[in-house]
Amino acid sequence: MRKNGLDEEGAVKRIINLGIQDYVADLYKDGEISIREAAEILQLNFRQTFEILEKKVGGNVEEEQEIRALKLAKKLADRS
Amino acid sequence: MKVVMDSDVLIKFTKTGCKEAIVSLLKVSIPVRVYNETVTESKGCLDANRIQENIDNRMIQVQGLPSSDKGELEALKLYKSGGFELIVSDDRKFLNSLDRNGIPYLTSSSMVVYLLYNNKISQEDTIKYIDNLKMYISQRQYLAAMSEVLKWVK
Repeated sequence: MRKNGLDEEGAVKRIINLGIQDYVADLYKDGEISIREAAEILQLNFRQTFEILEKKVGGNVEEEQEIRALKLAKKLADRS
Repeated sequence: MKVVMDSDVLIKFTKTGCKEAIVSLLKVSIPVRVYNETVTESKGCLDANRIQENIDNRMIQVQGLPSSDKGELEALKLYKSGGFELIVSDDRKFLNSLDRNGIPYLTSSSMVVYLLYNNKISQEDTIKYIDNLKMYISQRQYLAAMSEVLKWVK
């Protein structure tokens, strides 16, 4: 059976790839790996990995990190 | 203010249209690895062309030597070479590492808020830019930044 130009082996590979991408996206979402480590696992370049993670996760910054960054932004602005 | 910018944030700023405001206010440097990731390996992407234009007109400086280090390590080495105020990144694992080493950082959204604090952009534009970033950042990051903007009084 062929669908979207894929034979059975191609379809299985695609399903496995999607599963790996989901697994890597979860690791990234939890902060276990960086985008570059995700790229190494997926054997893709940074840009391709960024695009995948953008769709599957968005970002992964924690609230506490953002609050610390906002405080620093205020401090730097007050100083300038 | 001189900053080292990581690839993810540079791409996000370019895609969301707030890069020009940032590079006109700050001295933005990127390590060679970040240049490769955002421009050389991204041929054909519209934002890669825009980043190259900023490099050509010296709004963004490519600094350091090519190495086999990961981009985060190159960014860290560049920061440690001196003269930089902070690193800008949205990668949680990298930010955790910066936290552990006491290295100051801003995220994409806090950088936009920094422009507001400096009266370089209006509150309306800040909200627009952070809304543009929404699909690229975590909900927690978005809500924290937006909350700060909405309570800000000039």
